[in-house]
Amino acid sequence: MSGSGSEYAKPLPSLGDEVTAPYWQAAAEGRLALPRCEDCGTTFFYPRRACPTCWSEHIEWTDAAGTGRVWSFTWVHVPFYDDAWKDDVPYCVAIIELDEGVRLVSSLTGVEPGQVEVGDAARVVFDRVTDEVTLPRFEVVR
Amino acid sequence: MTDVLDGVAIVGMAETRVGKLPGRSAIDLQAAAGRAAVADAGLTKDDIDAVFSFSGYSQAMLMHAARVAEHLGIHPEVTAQIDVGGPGTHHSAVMAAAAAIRAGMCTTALCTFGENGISVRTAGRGRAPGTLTGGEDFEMPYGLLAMISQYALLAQRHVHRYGTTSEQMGAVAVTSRYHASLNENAHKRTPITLEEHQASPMISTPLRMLDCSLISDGGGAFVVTSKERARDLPRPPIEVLGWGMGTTHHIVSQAPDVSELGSWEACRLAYARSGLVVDDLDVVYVHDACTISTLMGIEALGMCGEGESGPYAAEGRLQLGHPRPVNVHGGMLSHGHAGGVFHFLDAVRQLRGEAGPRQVEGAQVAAVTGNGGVLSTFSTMFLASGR
Repeated sequence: MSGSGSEYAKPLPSLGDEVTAPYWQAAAEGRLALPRCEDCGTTFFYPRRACPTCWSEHIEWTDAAGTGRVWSFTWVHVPFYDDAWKDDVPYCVAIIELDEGVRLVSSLTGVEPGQVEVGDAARVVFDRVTDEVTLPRFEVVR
Repeated sequence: MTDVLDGVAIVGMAETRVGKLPGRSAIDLQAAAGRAAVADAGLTKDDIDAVFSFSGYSQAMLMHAARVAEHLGIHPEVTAQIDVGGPGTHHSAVMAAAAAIRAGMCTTALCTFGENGISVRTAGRGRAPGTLTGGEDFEMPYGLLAMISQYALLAQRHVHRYGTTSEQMGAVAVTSRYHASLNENAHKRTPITLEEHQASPMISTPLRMLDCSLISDGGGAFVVTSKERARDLPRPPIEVLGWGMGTTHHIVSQAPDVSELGSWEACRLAYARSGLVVDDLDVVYVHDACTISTLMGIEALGMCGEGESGPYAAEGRLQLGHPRPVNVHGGMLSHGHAGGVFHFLDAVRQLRGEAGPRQVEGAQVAAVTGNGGVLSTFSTMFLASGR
């Protein structure tokens, strides 16, 4: 799935948003980092300036264990909208429920259709798709 | 109970041809539906002093309601574009119109909807230019691009929790197409079989092509005014007996599980506000972006138990002839998807007794549910003839 510099044709996250930048910086360093409220203790995703539970702006970044479970998944069989995914279909997009309790969208690597079930244990892997962007993906742990 | 919707009625409505209408802009379709709805109400453009609209996504536009008004040569005091996600927006337009009428801000509101999705959106490769959907940073980089894939993630939860099968979802598609075969304005009218559903290409598991709503060109509109004014108008006024809404999230990673979506709260509130029970419903319109949406919708309305919608559909109980038939115009799965107002319009048609071969005999109360986003925002309305 790795890209090759400027030829990478898939959508990329914005790195210029100061609230979300630490997430992508951590990923580039091989860490899955999550924002956590210093006041009420809530770990949340996606990053926001204030805690969605108590609106505190005292947010710290903590490294997640990088493990969780497949909460849901879909095998995408159609390369929607442009040709960037035409060599990838079918590919597996999943919602991962991390051990820290938050859910996020990612994709599963190293699996074939029929091999994924809701509840499968999953572990983060880091995919450096461009010089600037590393996407946290997940592999199923058997 | 005093309610914002007391004292107002839907007094006119219209839909344009629905299907593939190349050469027609979204604004043209909305304006055409608007003119026809005003005529249906027995009014003229000079009677309209408020316009509420939703641009939809195929030709998204800022200040859209002002554009509709301008296009129609109307100079209303009140305009607003309303967007709570496509097929829930018409309910919010009714609410906005009712609130404005009751507050004395206007007397008669025109509400317009419509898209030229198949002729522009698909030709434009599916995205309204510059329109952010919320998933840009944390979902789209993973290839979560299509709405149907986002729905598929919640459909898979239904499969996981309740054992819902592709064949049960297929029963929804087959029934919708049968209903559309009775509707001469439906986009897709040729009946399909369960075998054809099962043979249709997988789009995003567990959803096949025939689980997905259409992308259509078409416009729809309705007129809201006071019940007092409605007495002088030719059409049977349609009133709102109860309503409810619920919002839980925007993007799919933030969604709760399927048993906690806003649909449940929206339906609970609508029943509580109206005093109705499920047995009071005569005809039901459930948002059907895909077949799983229909299943989730009838559960939230209490037509079957939680998780029991698959067997309910497989038994054929969504079809005309059964109590509380569902989406008897064909739904977005077969009549057409151009922003989602057609469910609401067909409910009005049924309550007027004008649904022809699809008429539910003696229909007194209709339920209409809408949702926007990825099962993100929900609305439920119970409508009845005011005469």
